[in-house]
Amino acid sequence: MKLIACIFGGLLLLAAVILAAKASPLAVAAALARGAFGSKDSLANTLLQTTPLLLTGLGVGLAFKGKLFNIGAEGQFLLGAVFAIWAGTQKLPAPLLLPVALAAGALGGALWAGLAAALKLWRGVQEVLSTLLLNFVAIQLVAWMVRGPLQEAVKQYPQSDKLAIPGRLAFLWPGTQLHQGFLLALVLAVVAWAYLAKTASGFALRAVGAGAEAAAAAGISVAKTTWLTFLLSGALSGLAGAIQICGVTYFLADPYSKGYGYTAIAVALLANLSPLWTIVTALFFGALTAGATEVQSAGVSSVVIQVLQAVTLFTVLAYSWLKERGK
Amino acid sequence: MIPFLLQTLTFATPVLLAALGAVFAERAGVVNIGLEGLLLVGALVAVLVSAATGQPYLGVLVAALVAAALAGVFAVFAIGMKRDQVIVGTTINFLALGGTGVFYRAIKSTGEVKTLPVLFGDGSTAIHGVTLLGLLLIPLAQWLLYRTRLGVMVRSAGEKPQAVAAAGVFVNRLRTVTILATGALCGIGGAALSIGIGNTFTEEMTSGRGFIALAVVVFGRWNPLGVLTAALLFAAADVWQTRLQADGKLHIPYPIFLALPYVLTLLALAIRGAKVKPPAHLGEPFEQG
Repeated sequence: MKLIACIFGGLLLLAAVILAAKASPLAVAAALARGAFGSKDSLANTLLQTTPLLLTGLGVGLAFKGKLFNIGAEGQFLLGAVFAIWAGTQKLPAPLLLPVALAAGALGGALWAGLAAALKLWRGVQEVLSTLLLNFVAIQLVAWMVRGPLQEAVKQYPQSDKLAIPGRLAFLWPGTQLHQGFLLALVLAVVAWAYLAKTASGFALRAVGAGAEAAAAAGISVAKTTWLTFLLSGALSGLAGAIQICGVTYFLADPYSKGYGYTAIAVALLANLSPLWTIVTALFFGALTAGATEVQSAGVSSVVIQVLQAVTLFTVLAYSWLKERGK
Repeated sequence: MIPFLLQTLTFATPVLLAALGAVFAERAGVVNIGLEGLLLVGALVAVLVSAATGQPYLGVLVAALVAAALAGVFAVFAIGMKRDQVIVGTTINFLALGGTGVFYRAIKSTGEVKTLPVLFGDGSTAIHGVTLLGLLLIPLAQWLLYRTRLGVMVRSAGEKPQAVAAAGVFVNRLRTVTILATGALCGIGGAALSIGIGNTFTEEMTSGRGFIALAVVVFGRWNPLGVLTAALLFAAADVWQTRLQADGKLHIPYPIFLALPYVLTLLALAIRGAKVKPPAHLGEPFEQG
């Protein structure tokens, strides 16, 4: 009942915003549905958009579960893309190209998150600030890379060379762009769940998240857990960037991300930080992202999706409050 | 040298105003990641009102009111419902980023925007009224925070909320006031950006200034004078990078220049690091007994 009231309230708010922007809420909803599920291509596109959101969402969720406010998935995603295209354009034996590019991406994301971990543990800098600021640095890093060290050999456009075919992820659904990265993301969601639920290290992460002092008293190394949580979180987002390179764009351009790393925060929170629920919420936001392209036909800018994200989060926050109060 | 200083002052204004509000909110125990969004909303509203009425100062005023209203939404969720402040702030940023985009694109053209009148200087070194306001607010804030009863209450609300509550102060009401003030100041700061430094609104034009303001608060040790110093330092770095870039003598790619303010902010935080101590109960919800 409370949930229904919250959802209804959220929808009303959203309709008000759309009306204020002089468009029809029903037309926007129809356009969204058409863009997300209207055809084989749009359905494939929904799954395609789900992939980076699921991985970055898992990364953000893992960090938040450990009470680490890593808001830097965007930057970690970008570093993953940079590392992946760099590794993928080296002279490597063909069968190694794809695994090396993906691993490099995960490493890039982990390093970027590791910077925030080092600043927090060694210098007491709040990770909220450092990860946010690192996002902006990462954006400029990409801009520089595609005009400098990673620019295509012909030096015509600000973009990198293309990844050779052996470095690319194979297609999953013939006739569409959907690639195997989607399956990899699904598998990793299950792995993340198993890690949190079944391993000692995952238990330590949750314990530190529930209370660092109590965890330390129980003999858990808070510093070690913090390092590991940051690195895993960053690696997942970095892998998302690498998969985007190896499965979708095949080259690095500027700007590179569509804000996946920011949407990831909504994805993780809506899933209540549970890895398995993240599959569902990533699908939801993936459908919204895919549908956004059609929304313009209904007379609203596609950035209305960000408003939708905000309204969704406010709805979740209000619902969690009502639930707590009801107890 | 003088033009450099004047330009630094102008550039520092949006960050300074946002940070000044955040000093009070954080001293009272509230951390608001939503500064970025509040600045952005202020920037858009100021442009729209100024273009529609031809009155730039009316634009500043309405920007302050609208941003304060958005800060009110933050207060409802973060204080009223006691939800995590970082999460609520992030949500405010989503709303502002998407909302300003939707409205700006729906309007498409704003017509001619009247910018804030120049008090002295010209071109990129022009000083306008809002910059002056920012400078005047520093001693006022310093006095409020350290010389008045309200200041004592605000500072205690972040350090020992239980004790303040026991003395009969409504901690959450006090915190809400600081949040609304932060919103108003961010609105004015956003206006300083869109109709002070520039003459139009562009999407994402705040480009991280709200986050830099948060860092400035830490670097300035949660006090107004410190915040002024920090805001000027970062603005100087910003002006320096634009000038070096325009100069073209140094052959450094421009993205590296653009990254400079963020890198310097990170470095500054790292150097200041462990030496600064935030208010003891920063970010924690408070249950009035």
